[in-house]
Parts: sequence; structure tokens; C-alpha cells
Amino acid sequence: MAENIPLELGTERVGKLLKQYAMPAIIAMTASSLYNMVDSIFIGQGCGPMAISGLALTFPLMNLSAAFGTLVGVGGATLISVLLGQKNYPVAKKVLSNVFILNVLVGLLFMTVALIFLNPILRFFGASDATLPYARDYMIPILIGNVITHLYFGLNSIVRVSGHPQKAMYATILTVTLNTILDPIFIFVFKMGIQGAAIATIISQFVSFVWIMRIICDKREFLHLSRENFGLDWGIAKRSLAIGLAPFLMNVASCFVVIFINNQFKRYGGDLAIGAYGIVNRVVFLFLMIVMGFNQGMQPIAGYNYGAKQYDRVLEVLNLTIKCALIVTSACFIVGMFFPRAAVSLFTHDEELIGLASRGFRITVAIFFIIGRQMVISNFFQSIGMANKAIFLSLSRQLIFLLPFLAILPIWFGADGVWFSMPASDLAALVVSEIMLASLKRSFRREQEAAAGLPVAEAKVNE
Amino acid sequence: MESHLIITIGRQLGAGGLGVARRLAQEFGMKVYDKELLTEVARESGLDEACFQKRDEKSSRGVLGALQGFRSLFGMYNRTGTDTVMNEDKLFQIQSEVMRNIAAKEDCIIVGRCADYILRDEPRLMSVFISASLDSRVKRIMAGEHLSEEDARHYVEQGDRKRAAYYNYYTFKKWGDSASYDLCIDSSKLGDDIEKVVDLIKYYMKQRNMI
Repeated sequence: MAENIPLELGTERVGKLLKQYAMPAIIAMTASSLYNMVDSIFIGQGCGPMAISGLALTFPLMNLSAAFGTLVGVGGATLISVLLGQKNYPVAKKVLSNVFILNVLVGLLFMTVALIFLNPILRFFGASDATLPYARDYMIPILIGNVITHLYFGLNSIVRVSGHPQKAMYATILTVTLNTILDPIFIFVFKMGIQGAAIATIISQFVSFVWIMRIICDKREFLHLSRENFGLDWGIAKRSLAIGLAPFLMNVASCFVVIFINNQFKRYGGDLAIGAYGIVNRVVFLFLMIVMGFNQGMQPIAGYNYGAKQYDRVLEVLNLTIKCALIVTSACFIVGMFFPRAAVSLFTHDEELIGLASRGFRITVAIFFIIGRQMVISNFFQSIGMANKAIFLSLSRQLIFLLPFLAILPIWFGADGVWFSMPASDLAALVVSEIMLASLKRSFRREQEAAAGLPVAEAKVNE
Repeated sequence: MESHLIITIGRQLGAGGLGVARRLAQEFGMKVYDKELLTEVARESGLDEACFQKRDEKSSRGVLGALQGFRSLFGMYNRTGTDTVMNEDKLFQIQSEVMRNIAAKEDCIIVGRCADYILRDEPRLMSVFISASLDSRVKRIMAGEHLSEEDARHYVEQGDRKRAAYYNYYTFKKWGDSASYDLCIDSSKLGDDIEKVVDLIKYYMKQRNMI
């Protein structure tokens, strides 16, 4: 049987499958979150508490840059994987050169606009006179290297889909390792401060980018970038942008939520509160990305078995993934509840910041021993193709419930209220997802009974 | 091993493509794959047939794509690019694989579903596209599906749009564009007579030394 039809998904042991599919995703996700954490740790230790706040202010801007990257990258990689499946190399090459050119164009455009309006943008994001210089120092090198960042991420995902997932992973690991080595050199040896951290980041990405370019220009590969036929094809560009538009908008929306959070922190808690949020964000992110890795591993298994109407296996993989996710988020809960100071002290020695961040950490993880369920369930709806429900569940946690809490709770509780809105929206979203899952399980049962020839009360199921 | 004779038939909705395919199949003793293809795909992939019926000749990406790039509030970078979800692209991939398996196994006629593109490397492939005037297509649909003229017209236009979107999405070519096919026939110019269309195709095949 051809490799494209993954029959094993319907027969192999679910535990083994989940391990096989989730491992690479977990490694990739952990690598990128470690990378962000290491960056923050060096900056916090080397440049002081205000630098941490300055750095946290740049998160949404970096996020926005990444969003523009997905605008080009997701569509390009999707089209290329469809084309390679049909061995349509000529058009795949065209898409590749399109991705290259679009990344350069979008990268340059973003750089120019962001550099020109850097001060007003950072002010809008919540910068004060004290934090603005740090945020500027960090963003300027990052923005100048923006084209390299976009090309590196965009081409790396194409290398991944064109039959070299390992090479793509090595490139990621290379960037992380280099950055970890270069960060202390630039901050402590060259004494370049937060700017040094940004330069280290760009240099690491540049080295990986050169390596990726060598792979992608290799003439022995069916798919490679070549001078002939190099150009922008508007038909293809429009299509890849259309595919990337939805993820782009979702990313932009999540950027604005972060901007709102930062501004609320600034208003009710001052600059340091933003820094505290930045620290907690980094630590929690490390755990949540592992859950995301499990989610990615679950997707093909749940999707296939749902398509094959093997509902027992669908629920088996769901329950197993939930178990794994709960272990991970509970670990985060234990760290946050019982050892918040230890975790937070990695980033700073400043007593005030440690105090703020520890308190915030405790509140953020308040219901983490159960939140793994919500994350897995909303992803589960996506993997069985119920996109609308999945999107609603994702939005419910991060937008629909969060925004009102963010707006209202601080009025009574001050900065604590901003922190409280996170577990509060988590809890509300959890309730909604449990209700939706229960109703889905009922429809599974009805369909199974119908298939077994038992009488069913309602004729129409699973709609 | 000699390769098999393969005829692919692209068709506007209501142009009589399936009828032509069935007659040709009778003539040469070949098997026709229209909806039958989905049964085959389901059998080989272990997936439920309904899963493919729902998505038959559809390329809609829907909002699912939106989720791929959605990152949690705590998330920063997750630019993995592709997904492993059982989406339309994956199902198309599976369907292509099954189609190639069929082509390797027997002489066959495949109706629609980008077969001309998927099997383009088959040496003994002939691709036909059958069109007809809107009026005669509407008439055929009115008779076949028992619809009012207005509904039939709507049905035809919708159907064409869907097929074009599907074909253009996956092949990067233009649906119904003469350069994409070996032979394009307007069946209404032949008096909507399936026999004449079949004769014409047979004549072409003879000229090409395919039969």
C-alpha cells in the first residue's frame, strides 16, 4: 500500500501512534519555547528588570511579524505539499520562488513601516518613558534582520514538507543552540545589553538561513530554487495569500489581546507588572507548547479514525492525549503554586519583580491542573474536521471570555484583576468545551447504536 | 508490462459526460469510475465512504486553515506550515493514490476528479472534455433531476463553479481550457446525441492508434 494512505492509523496501538506522531512536534515546540525563555533569562540577568518589561512589550510586535510570516509561509507550504504529492515539480518550483520573493517583499515592508513608526507603535503597545529605550534597542536589530527571519522560517517550513523533516528540525536546533551560545557573549562579554541579545538572535537565524539556502538551492533535489523561472507569479501569490489570510487574522487578533493585557497591566500595575507578565508568559509557554505538541500528534490519529467511523479509537486517543496534557499542565500548576519564586528567580534578582511575577504566576496557573482538558478538547474538534466548533472553542478561551474579564476585573482588583482574568476565562472556556464534548459523545453513541441495529430515538445523527 | 488504456472524461454539469463514459465502457468492456471511485477509495483507505462523499470534488478550505496558525496567548512562534489533519488536501492525495492504483491494474474510464491531471504520465491516456450549451444542459438536468427550469439553471451554474474551483485548485490549470485536454467536444453541436459523441471519440482513438 502506498505511503500516502496511513492505514496504520486505523489498526496500530493508539499509545504507540501518539508517541510516534507527537514526539517530533514536541521536540520542535519545546526547542522554540526554550529559545524564547533563554533569551529572556539572559536579558533579565544581564540588563535588569526594566529590560524584562521592555522585552515583554515587544512580544506583540514580534508576534505581528510572525503573523506576516505565516501569511506567506502557510500558503506556500500548503501548495507545495499538494504539488509534490502529484510530482508536479515545475509548478512547485514556481511556488518556491514565489515564497522567496514574497517573504522578501513582506519582510521589507514590515521592517520599513515598523522602523518608521517604532515609537508610536511601542507607546500604543504600552511602553513608558522608562521601558521605551529597552524596547527600541531590542526591536531595531530585530527589525533590520526581519527579512532574514521571514526567509528562514518560510523556507524552513518548505524544507519540512518537501521530504526533509529532519533537516528542518536540525535547522531549528542549530538556531536555538547558537543563540544560547551567542546571547551571553553579546550581553556579558561585549556588554551590548538588550541590543546584544537581539543581534545574537539575528546572527543565529542568519547562520541557519544560510544552511537552509544550501539545501533549497541543491540542484540534485527535485524541488530547488533556480535562476531560471525565478519570478513572482500573481496567480500563485494570490492563492497562497488567500490560504494564509485566515491564520494571519487569527494571529493578529491574538496580538491585540496581548496588547490589551500589557496596557491593562501598565495602567493598574505599572511597568514592572508588564515585565512580570513577560516572565510568567515565558515559563507557562514552555509547558503549554508541550501540550500543543501532544495535540499535533493527536490530530491525524483522531482525524483518520473519525473518518473510518472507529469511534472507540477516536475516544481512546482523545482520552490518552487528555491524560498526557493533564500531566504537563499539572506539572506547571505545581511549579507555579509551590515554587513560583524559584522559577521566576531564573529571570531576575530584583525583589519587587520577583514578588510581582510569583504572585502572578500563582494566579495564572490557578486551574492548570484541569486546563489541559480544554486545550485538548478544542483541538480535538479541529482534528475531526468540525472547524467551526474548534474555532469557537479557541476563541472562547482567548478572546470571547478573556476580553470582558480583562476590561472589568481590574476595576475592582487592580493588577490582580488582570491576572485573575486568565484563570477565569480558562474556567469558563473549560465548561463550554465540556458541554460540547458531552454532546459529541452522545452523538457517537447514537450512531454506534444505529449501526448495531438498535432502535434510535432520533433519525438524524451527527449533524 | 503493457500499460492500460485510460480515458478520462471532464465534463460540464449536464453535458452528458457520464452517459458518454458508460457507452464507451460498453463498447470497450472497460470499467467506469464516477462515484464508484469513492467506494474504491474508501475500501483502500479504510475510511468511511461518507467522509469522501461529503467532500467529493470540493476544495473548500473553510475556516479550518484559520486554526493552523492560531497560537495561544502564551504562544509566540508556531510556524509549522502544514498540518496533519485529515483535510481536503489529504483526501485528495489518498484519492490520487487510489486512482493511480486503478490505472495500473486495468483499462478504465474515469469521470471528473482531476483524473487527466493525476494520471498525466500514463502513456496510453486520452483526456476528453465534454461541454454543451447552457440551454441543453439545463434541459437535461430538468429531465434527469425533476427540477424546475430556474432550479436547474441554478444547479448547473453552481455545479460548474464547484468543479472549476476544485480542478483549478489542485491542478494549477484552468478547468475546461482546451490546452488541458486531448479532445474537447461540444455535445449540443452534435444534437445532444451521445452516440455521435462516442463515435467521434472512437474515430479520434483510431487516428491516434489507440484502438
